[in-house]
Amino acid sequence: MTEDEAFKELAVQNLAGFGWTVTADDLPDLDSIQTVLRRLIDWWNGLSQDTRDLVGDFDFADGFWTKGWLYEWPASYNLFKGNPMGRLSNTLFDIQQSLKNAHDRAADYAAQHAITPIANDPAFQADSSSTSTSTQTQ
Amino acid sequence: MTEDEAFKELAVQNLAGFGWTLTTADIPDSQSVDTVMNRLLSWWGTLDGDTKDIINASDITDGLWGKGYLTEWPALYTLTKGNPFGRVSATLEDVRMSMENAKTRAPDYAAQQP
Repeated sequence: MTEDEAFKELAVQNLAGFGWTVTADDLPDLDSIQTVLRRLIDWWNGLSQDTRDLVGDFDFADGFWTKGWLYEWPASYNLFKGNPMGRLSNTLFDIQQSLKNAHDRAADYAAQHAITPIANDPAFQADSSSTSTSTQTQ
Repeated sequence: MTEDEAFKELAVQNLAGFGWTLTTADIPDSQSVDTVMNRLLSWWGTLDGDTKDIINASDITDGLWGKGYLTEWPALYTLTKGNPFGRVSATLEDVRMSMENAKTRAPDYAAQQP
């Protein structure tokens, strides 16, 4: 398993913990994800407190989509649609934490899942070939 | 007819022209209307273009209500609920124009009515 594959698998697991259903295919590379999240978080942090109070519960998925702000990670539309965490700041935070955790654990996770299937083990194959030959001989 | 009554009657007529159904009982005095509209338009004016683009398609009514921005004119909730014109800016502008027109015409209208 590559580190990128590990990141995606862990991200899917982490997001599922918050109730989101996504597949690894829904996740682009980490740079693309960070580009989208950074754009949204910068925008959110730039709003006045009054505006955050006013619009914090809104469903911004369509607005973000129309604005082109989800371009690098189209499937994130489904994470924002319906504002599932009740406030955009919560949604952003949960996504960010899920992906940060996945990123931090990806290297170890990939290493732990780098074990090749026993059928591909050269020693096993040699042994298997020997057995087969022996059977034919008989 | 008093000027205040004239203002409310004209406001109801103007808003009806945009498809809203209200009664004069839903319209407070013009000063309260000004207070609410100025508050909303001032807030809207502080937003940058990106934020306006993103918010424009949303129904902001519950947010306005929760923030207390409609206190002096509670019935405005029913005007903005559902973002009837598809864009917040269009809704605010239509309400503003309706009220501005009613306020301008109220003195003459009151004088003409028995």
